[in-house]
Amino acid sequence: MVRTYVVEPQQIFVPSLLALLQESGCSIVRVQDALDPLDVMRSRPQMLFFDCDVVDDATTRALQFVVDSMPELDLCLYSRTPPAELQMQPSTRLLYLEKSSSHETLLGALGSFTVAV
Amino acid sequence: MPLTSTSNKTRIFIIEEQALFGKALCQLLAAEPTFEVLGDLPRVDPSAPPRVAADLVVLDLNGPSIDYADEIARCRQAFGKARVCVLSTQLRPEIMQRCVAAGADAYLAKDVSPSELIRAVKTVAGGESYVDPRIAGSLLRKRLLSDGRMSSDELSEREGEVVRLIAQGLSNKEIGVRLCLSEKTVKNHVSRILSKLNISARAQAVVYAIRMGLV
Repeated sequence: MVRTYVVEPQQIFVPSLLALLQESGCSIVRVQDALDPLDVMRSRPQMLFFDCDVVDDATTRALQFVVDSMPELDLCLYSRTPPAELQMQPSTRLLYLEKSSSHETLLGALGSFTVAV
Repeated sequence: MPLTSTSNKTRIFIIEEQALFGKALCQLLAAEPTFEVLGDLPRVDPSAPPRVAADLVVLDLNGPSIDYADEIARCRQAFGKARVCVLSTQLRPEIMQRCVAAGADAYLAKDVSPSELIRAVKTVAGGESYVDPRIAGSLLRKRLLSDGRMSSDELSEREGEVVRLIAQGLSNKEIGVRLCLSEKTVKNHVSRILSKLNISARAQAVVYAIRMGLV
């Protein structure tokens, strides 16, 4: 199981998301509605799942800080649009999940990604 | 997706591009005894509307490039008199205002709690309107700070252009030439701008434009 830290502000969506992640081989170490870099570092996850549709500059900087500080951390970005708009430089392994994807597509992509972690 | 409704509950249809979120919404709302979820689709297609008689549509609207008014009009076209509850990642008051002006009955941010969403849907189903308190509060603060006048981001993009050109001393006719609009259209824009800014003369619009850094 891949120790996964989840940042997801959409409370309504959290139960479905956690079920999907667990089905994909993730064990959830923490769920937060906003990114707290120090809490991520303290939790020592293998993967950070991050919903990046409600992101301001401060959050982008915080995410960059996490990525720079934890080069071994895998990053899973969940977004409506490609992550280029985040304007960050991921040094970690990156999986991009598009929000319009079906459950099966998301499950397949996550499963392949976590197998390699 | 069922094609007909069989109860007297509030009949809800969900338009949500994010597939998993749409399913989560269906589950949450279907668990409420007074609601009946008729189905969900990723987007509105007025040319092939779902054959359901919804009382209320939960409409996902997001993205910097979408025309909110157009999307709400398409929803109205597809669902007739159903009340429209917009869910969006946008917390900007001007986006909420655009949606309400276009006919939305409610506007909520997508990080809304399950209990607040249910409260909002019940409020709207009861014939009232609902706006996310965070956005309403932000709008109220802006209004108070601007002394009852609207701020520049509450003007449409076109109205902002017209204000800038007024401040440069152009007449309605000259603005029309510059923006490829008829003089009458420019005049309508100017009337709306004066009304929105709660002012009565072009000179005041010039002062406003300077104060807001539009020129």
